[in-house]
Amino acid sequence: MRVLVIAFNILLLCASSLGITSFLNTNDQSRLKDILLSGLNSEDAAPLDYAIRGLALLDSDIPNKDGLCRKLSAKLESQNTETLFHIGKASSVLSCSAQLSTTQKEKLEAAITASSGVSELFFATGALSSFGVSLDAPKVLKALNAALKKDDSISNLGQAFQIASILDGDVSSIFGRIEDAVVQADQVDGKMLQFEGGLSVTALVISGAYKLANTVGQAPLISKEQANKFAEYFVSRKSVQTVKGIYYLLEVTSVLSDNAFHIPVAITLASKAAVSKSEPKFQVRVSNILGKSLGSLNVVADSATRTIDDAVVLSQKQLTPKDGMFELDLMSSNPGKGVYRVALSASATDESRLVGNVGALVEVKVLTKIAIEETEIGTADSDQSTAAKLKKITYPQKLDGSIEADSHQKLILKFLLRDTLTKELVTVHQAFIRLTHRESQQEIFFVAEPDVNDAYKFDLDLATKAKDFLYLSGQYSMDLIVGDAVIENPTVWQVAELQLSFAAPSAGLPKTSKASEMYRVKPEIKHMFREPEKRPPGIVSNTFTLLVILPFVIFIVMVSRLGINFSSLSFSLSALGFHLSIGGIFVLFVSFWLYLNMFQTLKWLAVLALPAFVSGNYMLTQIAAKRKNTTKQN
Amino acid sequence: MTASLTTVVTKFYEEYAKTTPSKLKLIDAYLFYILLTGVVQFLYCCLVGTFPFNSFLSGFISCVGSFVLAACLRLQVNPENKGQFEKISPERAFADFIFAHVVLHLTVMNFIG
Repeated sequence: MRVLVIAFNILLLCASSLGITSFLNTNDQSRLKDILLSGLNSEDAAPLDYAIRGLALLDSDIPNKDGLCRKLSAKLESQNTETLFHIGKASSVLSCSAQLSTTQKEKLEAAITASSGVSELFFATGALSSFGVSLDAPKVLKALNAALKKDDSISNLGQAFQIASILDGDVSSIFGRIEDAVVQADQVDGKMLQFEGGLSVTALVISGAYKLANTVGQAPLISKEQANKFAEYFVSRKSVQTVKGIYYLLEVTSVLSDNAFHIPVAITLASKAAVSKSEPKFQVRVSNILGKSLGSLNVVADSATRTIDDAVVLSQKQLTPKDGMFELDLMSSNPGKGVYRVALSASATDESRLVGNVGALVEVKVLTKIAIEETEIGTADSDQSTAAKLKKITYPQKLDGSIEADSHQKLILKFLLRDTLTKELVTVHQAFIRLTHRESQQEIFFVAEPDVNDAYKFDLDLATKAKDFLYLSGQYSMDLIVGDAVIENPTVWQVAELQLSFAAPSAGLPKTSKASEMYRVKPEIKHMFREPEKRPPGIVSNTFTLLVILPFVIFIVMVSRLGINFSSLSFSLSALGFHLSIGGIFVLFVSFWLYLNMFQTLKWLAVLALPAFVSGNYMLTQIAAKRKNTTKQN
Repeated sequence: MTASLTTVVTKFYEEYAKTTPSKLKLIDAYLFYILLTGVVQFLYCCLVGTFPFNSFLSGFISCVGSFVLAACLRLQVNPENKGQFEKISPERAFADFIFAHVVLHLTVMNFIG
C-alpha cells in the first residue's frame, strides 16, 4: 500500500510538470494593449512596427492609420535594412501604399549573399516579402546555410526559422535544425524552458519553429512536455513592459494558441478556492494560453488528495460543463476539512494537439464548521487538596454571575471542538483564551492546548502567572478565540466574567504598570570626562615650588661669594645682540609653553637663531682674541 | 674619626678654593644648583606622586640634561684637560653649551604640557 502511495505521488509530481498554471487573461491583455498604444507615439521605425503588429495580434483597432502610414513613408529613404524591414512589416499590417524604390529593392536583393550575416538576411528577406517582392528561394537558402555555418547562435537559428518559414522551396535543411535549437534551452525550476537571451530570443525561436513546421507540413521535433514548459515560460513573462517584448510575447502566444501541432492548455481555478457544505462546487477554466476556449472538452478530476496526509478522496470524476467553465461538486465525496490538490485532465475526442492537458493541479480548500461543546469553567485549589468546582456552559451563552479566584487557586476551562460534518473531534490552528482587565483594558492571552484525545484544557495558576498580569487584580472578562484556515466559522466567544485577586508583589517591583511608562523620555546621556586625578593640597605644591626656587637663591649667593667680576663684560654691539637674542629665545620657549604651537615656535626660533649665531660668533671670537693677547703679554 | 674626616674635608675645601680657577668655581656652583633642583623634584615625586607625569619628566630631564651639559662644559674648559681638547677653545665649548641648551629646552618646553 505504502509503495503504491509513493508511486502515485511520483506520478503526481511528474504530472505536475505538465499543466500551465496561468494564461494571459483579459486584464493582462488590456494592460499590454495600453503599452502598445503608447508605443504608437514613437518616432522610431522599430517600436512603431512592434506596437502596430502587436495591436494587430490583439485584434484591436489601430487609431489614425493614415497618420501612421505617413510617418512610416517619411522614413522610407532610410538605407538601413532593419529600418526598411520594420517599415515594410508595419505598412503591410496597415495596408499602406508605401513602395520601395528600384534602387532600394536592388540593394536589399544584393544583401542576400553568402557573405551576409543571418540577421542581415532576416531583415532583407522580411522587408522584400512584406513589400510584395517574391524571393528567390534557392538563393536565399544558399546564403542562409552559408551564414549559419559561420555563426549558428540561438538567435541566428531563430531568425533562420523565420526566414525559412516564408520560403516556398525545400527548406528541410533548416527544419532539421529545430532539434539543435531546442536542446539548447535552459530549464528553470524544472517547470520552464527558455533560451539564453530571454523573452525575445525564446519567442523568435519557438514561433519560428512552429511556423516553419507549418510550411514544411511536419510536426517540429519539440516534445509535448517541452512545448508545455516553453508555454509556461511565456505566460510567466506576461508582466513584460517593453513594446518589443510585448510584440514577441503576443506573437508566440498566438502561434502556440493556433497551430497544427501543439496547443498548450491552461487549467486554472475560475471560482473561489474553497468549498463548503453551503457552496459545494468549484469551477475550473480550461483554455489556451490566450484565455480562449478550446471547444467541447471532456474534463475529468483524476484525483483529489489532502496535502496534509495524502488521503485520496475521489478518482476519475467527470466535471460538468457550465457557462464555458467546468464544475465539480467536491463535497459529494465527503472530504474532511483541509487543503486538497485536485489533479485535472482535459481531453477532446478529435483533438490530439493539446499539451499540458493531463494532471494539471489546482488547490482547493474544504471548509467546515466547528461546534464548541461540553464547555466547563471553574476553579480548583493549586495544591489539589479539594476537587475542582466546574460549571457547565453552552455556546454562545455567557456564564451567569462571575467566577472568583485568588492566588491559591487555579482557573480551569475545558472544551471540545467538533467538526459538524464528520462529527469528529478536531484540533485547530488557533485556540486562545483572552483575559481583559475591565478597568485598564489590559489584555493577556494564553494558548489552550489539546490533550491526546483532542480535548482542550486550559488551566491558569494565579500564583505563578501573577507577574504576567502585572499583579493587577480586579474584574476580567474571558473570551475564547477559535480560528483556522479551513473552518468557516472562526469564533470569539465571551465565556465568563472573572474576579481575580493576585497576591501583592514582593518588594522592589515597579508600581506603575501603564504601557505609556515604557515610552517615556529616558534621562539624557551625557558624556563623562575622565575624572581628574586628585591633586595634592595647595600648601604642599606651594612649598615645593619654593623649594625648587631655593637652589637658585643658593646659586646666586654662591656666585656672589665667589666674587665673580663682570669687568670683562663688554658692551659692544655684538655682546648686546647676543644676550638679547639668547634672552629672546628663552622668552620664546616660555611662550611656546604658554600658548604657541611647535610650528610657530620653530619659525620664530629660526628668526632669533640667526642674530644669536652671528653675534655670538663675533663676540666669542673677540673674547678669544683678547684672551690670547693677555696670555701672550704674560 | 670624625675629627679626621673634618680635617680631610677642610683640607680639601681649602685646596679647592685656592687652586681652582674662578670660571670652574662658577660652573661648579651652577652644577650644585641644578643638582639641588633635581633632588627637590625627585623628592616631590617620591612624597606626593608623579601626577602630571609629563611635567615631572620634563622638569627632571631639564635638570639632568643641564647637569650633563654643564659637566661637559667643565671638562672642556678645565685647563688641566687642555691636552685632550687641544682644538676646542673655551669659547667654542661655551657656544656648544649654549646651542645644546637651546635644543634641550625646546624639547623640554614641548614636553612640559
